Amino acid sequence: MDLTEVIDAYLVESEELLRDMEKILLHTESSLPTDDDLNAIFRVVHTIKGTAGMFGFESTVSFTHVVENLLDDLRSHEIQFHPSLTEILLKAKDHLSFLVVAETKGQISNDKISYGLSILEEMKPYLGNKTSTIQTDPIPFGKLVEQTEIGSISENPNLIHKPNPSTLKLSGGIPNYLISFRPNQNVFSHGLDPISFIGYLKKIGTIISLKSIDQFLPGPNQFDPENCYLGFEINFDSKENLETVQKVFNFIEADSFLHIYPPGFSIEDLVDLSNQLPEEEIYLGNVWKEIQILNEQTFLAYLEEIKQRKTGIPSVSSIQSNSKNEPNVSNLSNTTNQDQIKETHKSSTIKVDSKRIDNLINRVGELVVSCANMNQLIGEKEDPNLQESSLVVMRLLNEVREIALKLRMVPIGESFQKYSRIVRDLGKELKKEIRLITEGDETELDRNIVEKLSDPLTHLVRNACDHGLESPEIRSKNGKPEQGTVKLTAYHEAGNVIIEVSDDGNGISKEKVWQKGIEKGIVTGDLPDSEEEVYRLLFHPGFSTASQITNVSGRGVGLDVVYKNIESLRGSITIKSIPNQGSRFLLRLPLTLAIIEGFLVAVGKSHFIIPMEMVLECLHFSDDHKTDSNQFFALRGNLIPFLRLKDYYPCEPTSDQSRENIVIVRQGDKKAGIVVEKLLGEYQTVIKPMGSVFRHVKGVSGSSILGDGNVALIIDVPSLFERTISVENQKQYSHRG
Amino acid sequence: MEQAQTIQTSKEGIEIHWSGYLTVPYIKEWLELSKLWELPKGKKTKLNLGAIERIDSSGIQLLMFLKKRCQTDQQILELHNHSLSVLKVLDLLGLVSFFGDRIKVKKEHSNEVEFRYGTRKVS
Repeated sequence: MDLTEVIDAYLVESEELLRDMEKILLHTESSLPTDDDLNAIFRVVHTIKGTAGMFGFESTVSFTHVVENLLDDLRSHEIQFHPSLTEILLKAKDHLSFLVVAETKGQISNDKISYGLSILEEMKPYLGNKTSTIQTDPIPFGKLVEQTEIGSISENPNLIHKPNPSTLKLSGGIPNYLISFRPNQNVFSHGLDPISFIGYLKKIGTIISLKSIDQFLPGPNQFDPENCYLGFEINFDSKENLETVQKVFNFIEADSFLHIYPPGFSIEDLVDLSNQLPEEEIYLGNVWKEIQILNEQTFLAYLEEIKQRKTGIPSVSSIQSNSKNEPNVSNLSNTTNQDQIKETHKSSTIKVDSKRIDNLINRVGELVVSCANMNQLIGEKEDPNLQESSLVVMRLLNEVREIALKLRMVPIGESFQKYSRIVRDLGKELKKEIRLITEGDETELDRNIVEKLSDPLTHLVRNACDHGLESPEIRSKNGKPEQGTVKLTAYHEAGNVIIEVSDDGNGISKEKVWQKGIEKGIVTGDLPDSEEEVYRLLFHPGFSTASQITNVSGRGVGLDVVYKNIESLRGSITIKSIPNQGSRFLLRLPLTLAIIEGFLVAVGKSHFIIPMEMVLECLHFSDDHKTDSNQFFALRGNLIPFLRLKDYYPCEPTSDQSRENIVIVRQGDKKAGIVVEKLLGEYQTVIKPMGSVFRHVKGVSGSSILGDGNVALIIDVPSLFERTISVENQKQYSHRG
Repeated sequence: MEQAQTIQTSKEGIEIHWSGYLTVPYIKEWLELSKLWELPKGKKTKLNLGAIERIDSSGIQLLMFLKKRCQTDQQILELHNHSLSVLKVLDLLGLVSFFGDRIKVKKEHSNEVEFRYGTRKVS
C-alpha cells in the first residue's frame, strides 16, 4: 500500500467518524449527551488527531488537541455540558472536516487558520470556568482544613489511603489487574497523550498504585521533548472484564508495548513479562513490590523463579502454580496481546478499496456470462449428470454473485444522516421550525448510486425547507402546527429503490406553474388534466429562476440539474402535490449498476434485455389486442400504451418473419407494452456501461455480452416510458397549436 | 492562553514563574526557555507552577527531565505552588516522591486529589 492509499483511507475514515460526531451532536440539541455520547465524540477527535499526527498534519493535530482537551474535561465531568457547546462543537466538526481534506492537499490558507482559532477562542470560556462549575459539592467535614500539606516527608491521614491488604495475598494468584504500558516513543507526535489513557482507567475501576518508569529519560543533548520516554506499571482493581479494560487502550498504536494481566496471574507470568520489558528484572521486581503487586514473600518467589529460569531447573513452586493457573495463563496469552486485540476488531469490519470490489464484480459478471453459455451447451447434450452438475454450479454462482453485489451495498441511512444537519442549519437561517423524519434508513443501495445521489437530494431537501415549508406564522394561520416536517423515506419496490422527499408545506400550484410555462413560451393551451404533465415543466431548463419561481410556487430552483443527475443514474423522478398539504418528490433508482436479472428478447437479428423486475407478463400480440390507434392496445378491457422496439432502434431483419409478441412492463403504477419478435426467456446479465460516445443514447442503459458472444442492449424502461410520453405530448401540443 | 516565563532573583536563588499550557504543541518552546542546566552548581531554582493551566504527559516528562538534570548538575530544583492541573497529574502518575517537593492543596481542591500512592521514596 503506498502513501496515497493510506491517505485515502484516512480521508474515508475521518469522514465516517465526523459524520458520527455530527449525528451525536445534533442529538444533544434535544437532550443532554450521555457518557457514551461524550466518549464517542472524544474518540472521533482522538482518532483523527492520532492519524493526522502520523502524517505530520500539524494544523489538524493542534486544532484537535484543544478540542480534545475540552471533550476530555466533559467526559470526565470536570466541566458540565452546556447546550451552547453543541453549536461550537458543530463548528469545530465542520472545521475539522475542512482541515482533514485541505491538509492532505496542502491547501490551508491563513484565513482558515484564523477561523479555527476563533472556534477555539469560543471554547475557552468553557475550559476556563471549569473549576468554578465543578465546586458545587460541599467539602466533607474531615477535609475542612485551610491548607493541607503532603509530600515525601509529611503524610496527611485525610488524603493518604492505606494499601488494600488483599493485594498482598498470593494464593490463587494476584487479585488485581497488572497493566504494563510503554507508549511508543512517537506517541506525542501521533497526537496521543498516555495520561489520558491512564486517567480513563479510573472510570472503570481504582488505580491501587502506579509507578511511572523514568529509566529511559536521556541526557540533555539527546532529549527530544517530542519523544515519549516514560513507561507505567499499574496495579489496577476493577470489576470489569479484561475486554473492557483493554478497550481503554483501544487507540494506542500497535507498536506501543501494552500488556494487561487480569486478576489471578502468577509469578511465572511476571517473569515472562519481565523478559519482554526493556528494564532489568530486579528493577521491575522492585517496581511491582512498590505498587503492591508483589509482597516480600512473593518478591522472593519472583527472584527464585528468575534464578531457576536462568539455571534451567524448574522450581517446584513454579510447576505447582503452572498447573494451578493453567487456564488463566492460556487465557491471557490469547487475549492480552495488543496485536490480537486489534485483530479481533479487524475481523468485524475491513476497509477495501472500492476498485477491488468493482473488479471482483466485473469478474463475477464474466463468470455469469460464461456459465450461461456453458449451461446452454450442456442443455443440448441431454446428459442428466452433466445437467445436474451444471445446476449446482449455477446455484453456487448465483450465491457468489449475490454476495459480491452486496459488498457494494450500503444502507441509505448513512447518507440520510447529513440532512439532519442541513435541515437544522436551514431552520435557523430561515427562522423556521423544521423537523426532519427519516424512514427506511436500512434500505440498501449501491454505494456508487448513494454517492451520486448526494447532490440531488441536498437540492430537494433545501428546496423543501426553503420554498416548500411556510413560515411558522403562516402555518399557524392555516391551522397547521408551527413546526414543519420534511420527510426522507427510502424503500424497495420491484427491484428499484424509491426515495421520497416530502414536506407538509403549501404544495405546488398547478395553475401558477402552467401559467409560468405559457409565459415562458414552453407550453400553450389550457391547463391539462395530467398533473404529471404540469409538474414536468418544473424540470425544464431555465424554467425557473429563484426570484420568479418563489413568487409563483416556491418550487423549481435548479430542478433541471436534479433531473439530469437522476437521469444519469438510470433513475426517474415524479412529483406529487396537494395544495396546503405538501409535496412529494419520488426518485426511482436502480438497485445496482452491476448485474441484473433480465428478460431476453429479439427483434430481427438484434437482442435486447428488459430488466426482469419490470416485466409483468408476455403475450402474443394478436389482432384481438390491436386497436385503431398505433399507440394503445387493449388488454382485458384496458387500454395500454405500447411501442415497437424496431421503431426506435434499427434492427436487421431475419429471413423468417416471426409473429409479434408483446412484453408488458410496469414502472410504478403504470403499465406499457414493448412489442418484440422473439421471447427468449430469463437471462442473468452483467451490465457493461456504455462507452462515452453512446452515453446519451436514450432508452438504453447499458449493454451485455451474451453467451454466444453477441451483444444485447439493455432496455432502460423508465427512459423509454418518458420518451414515449414526450413524443405523445409533442404530438398533442402541435395538434392543439 | 499565553505561554509566559518570568524570572525573579533573590538572595536564595531564582524563582521562575511559568504560565499557560505545558503540553505537546508548546513543549519545544518550553524546553528552549528552560536553561536550568546552564545555572551554576549549587544554585537553587524555584519553579512556580501556579499558573499552569494544563499539563500533559510531555509536560510532566519535561519536568522530570529537568529535575533529573538538575540533580546530575548538582543544582536544586524545587517545584512549588502547583496548580490543580499539575497536582492532578502528579497524583495520577504517583510522582510526588519523585520530585520530593512540599505540596499544598487548597481546601477547595482537596476532593480532587487523593495521593493514594507515590508519596514515599522507595529505597
